[in-house]
Amino acid sequence: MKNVKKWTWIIRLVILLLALTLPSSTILAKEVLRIAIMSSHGMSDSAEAIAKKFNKLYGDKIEAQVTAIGFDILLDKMLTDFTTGSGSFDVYSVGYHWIGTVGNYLYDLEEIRKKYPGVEDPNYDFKDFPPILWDTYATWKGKNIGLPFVDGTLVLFYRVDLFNKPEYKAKFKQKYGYELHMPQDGDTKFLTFKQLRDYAEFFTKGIKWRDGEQYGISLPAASGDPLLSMYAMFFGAYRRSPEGLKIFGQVDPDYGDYFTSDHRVAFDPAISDLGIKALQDYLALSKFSPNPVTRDWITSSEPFRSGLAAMFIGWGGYWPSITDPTSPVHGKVGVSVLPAPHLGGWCVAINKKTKHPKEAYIFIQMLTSKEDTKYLYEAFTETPTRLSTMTDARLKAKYPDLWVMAPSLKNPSVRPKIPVLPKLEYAMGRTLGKAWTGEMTPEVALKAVAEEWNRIVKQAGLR
Amino acid sequence: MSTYRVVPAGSVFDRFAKHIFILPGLGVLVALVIYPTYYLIRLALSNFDLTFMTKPVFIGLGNFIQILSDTYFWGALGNTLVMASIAVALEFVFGLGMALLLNEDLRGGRIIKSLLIVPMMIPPVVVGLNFKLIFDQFGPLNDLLQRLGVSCVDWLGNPLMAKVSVILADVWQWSSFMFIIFLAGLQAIPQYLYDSAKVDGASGWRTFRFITWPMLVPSATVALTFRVMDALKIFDVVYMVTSGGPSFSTEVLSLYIYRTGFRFGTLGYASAVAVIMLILLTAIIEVIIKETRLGKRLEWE
Repeated sequence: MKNVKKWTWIIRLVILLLALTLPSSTILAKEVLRIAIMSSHGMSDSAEAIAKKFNKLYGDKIEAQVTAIGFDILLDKMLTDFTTGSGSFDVYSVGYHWIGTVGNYLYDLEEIRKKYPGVEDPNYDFKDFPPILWDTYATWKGKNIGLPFVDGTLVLFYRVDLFNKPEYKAKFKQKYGYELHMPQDGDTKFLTFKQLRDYAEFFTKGIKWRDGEQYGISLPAASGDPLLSMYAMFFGAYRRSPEGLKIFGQVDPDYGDYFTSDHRVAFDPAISDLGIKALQDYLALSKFSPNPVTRDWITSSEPFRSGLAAMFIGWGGYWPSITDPTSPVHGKVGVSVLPAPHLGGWCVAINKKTKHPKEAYIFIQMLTSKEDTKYLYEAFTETPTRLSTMTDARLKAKYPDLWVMAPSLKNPSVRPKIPVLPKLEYAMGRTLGKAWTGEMTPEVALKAVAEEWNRIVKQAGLR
Repeated sequence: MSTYRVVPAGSVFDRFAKHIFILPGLGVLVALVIYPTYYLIRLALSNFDLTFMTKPVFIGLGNFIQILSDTYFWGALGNTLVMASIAVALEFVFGLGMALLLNEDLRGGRIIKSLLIVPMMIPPVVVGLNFKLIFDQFGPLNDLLQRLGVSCVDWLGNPLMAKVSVILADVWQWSSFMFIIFLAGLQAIPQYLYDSAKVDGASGWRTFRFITWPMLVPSATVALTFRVMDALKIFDVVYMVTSGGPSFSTEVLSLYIYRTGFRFGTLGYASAVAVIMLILLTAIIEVIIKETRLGKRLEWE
């Protein structure tokens, strides 16, 4: 009897708790707009700032929540989310080279604009995006699948103190017969590959500028994205030259510089020797760098940041981490345009499975608006995709890395936006890396990569 | 006064009781082991490509036939077998050595034992990251070598040394596992066996050869089985230290499965590789158990 009483009390208590919590949880349960952004100061912090602004305006109905996800797992996360249809996130930051892999799962933004006529910000100014960025980041198969979010071109970081030292300048001129000079804002002539190589050689063994080991340049060549992007930069110089255009035809924006206009592998030694020449340029520069084959973007920035190397090729967005006050090279770094810039960068796109397409569009529009691009660059050094920010005189005077952005976009090489890109990246890393480790000659390695790429593209029905 | 009803033997309840009691356990087994394995095999027999948004299409043994000519698969399999065998062999030797040494009453032995267990408790991702820094061209290991007047080693840039680096990281972390198992085995050996060997005038080697080792074989088999299973599935350390490089000289099967499944989006193919890995693991473990007659020994014990 006593037990029965005890049980009825417990049941009463549970019912009371449920009665109290259920209505309150229903009231509290707000719609959530989930945003997955690549984890970096510029990108995820910018998204967080805009999410706060968004929540002030629309927070009573829907709350924007940003999740920062590491570069290494972002693509995997996206693919899993898209294919299982779980709709974990409504908005994603998408590296443009992944668009071919995930493009089928992204919203055509034109559909949203048509469906919700009032959604478009009249001051958005689509024309403020440089055409190359709109075509590369925002367009796929003729559809608008995202808005340009972060511009990423490969740039050259260098030690201003070394390049400006009169003693070194004189020694360089004596040895190479021309001036040691790094192109600045306003210069009409940019760096050539020959100059870059000479500079790297000079600061490796032409002069003793530090105690202990010293390198002219720090280069990445680790398999994966670093090797794919870096070789694209070297090959792009040949691919986009008059000779290259004659041999390979115009660059198809979806297939990028690595393919001919009829989608054959352009660096294939069977077509021309330009691929080999580009690889030899890359290998020649590698002699003046800490072992590139073990270095990705971050680890190749370290020798420069710690003062071991005189130059470093990396993404423009690395400026804050390289030059922060704790860096040994703080106050000694300058940026210049590379002989043949290569385009990286990100768009923000909407998951086709989202339940909140309108709100997602409003969010990505705010994140990439003309007004906020300037603010985000100043606050978080988010590398801008808008010309109005890149060419802003006040900002250029304040931030010494900004000037390189607009000239870097003149004729940059681009990577393919095709579904099998991860396979191509893997095949290149696996085989081309052997040209650095000495397991294969450059010619044999490149031929093997070209054969493998042709097989992958053919098997996927892309040619 | 409460009364209990005695269920007569052979009644319906008695006959079905054991089946009913087994049901929850069976349910868990089906949900967590049998169904996922069935689904894995089903995927392995299908063409399922995430990037092309295709639904799984049954293709029979198509993926397995493709694996036969996949040089990446064979490369990864070779690397896995080589690195796992060397790492486990070294862990075995170090673990046994340390256990023999610390089984004696040494000064500070308890502290050393506690310290030896620490590597095992560190997440493999952290171990990988640490070793990546240690083996860096400008890392502390090369710095030490330079101070000793030895030239630097290209740990991560040379295909052979990259393998060595991964093996060393694994050995550092998992030798302590072998050590614990061996130490437990050593402490279970009755002292009177050693006492009688002493009386008979047996040398240290003969005592080890005819008393310690035979008594340790069951422990060795258990340790070996667990470590082989684990080493063949190695992922985190390789991913962090070398990412399979340089030029994929340290690519292992689990990393290859991850790449084919979640990078290339070919889930069907990745599942087929996983099925092969499962068969391989089962076969290797079966051989170890058979060769060491573990089953018989446990039965005897």
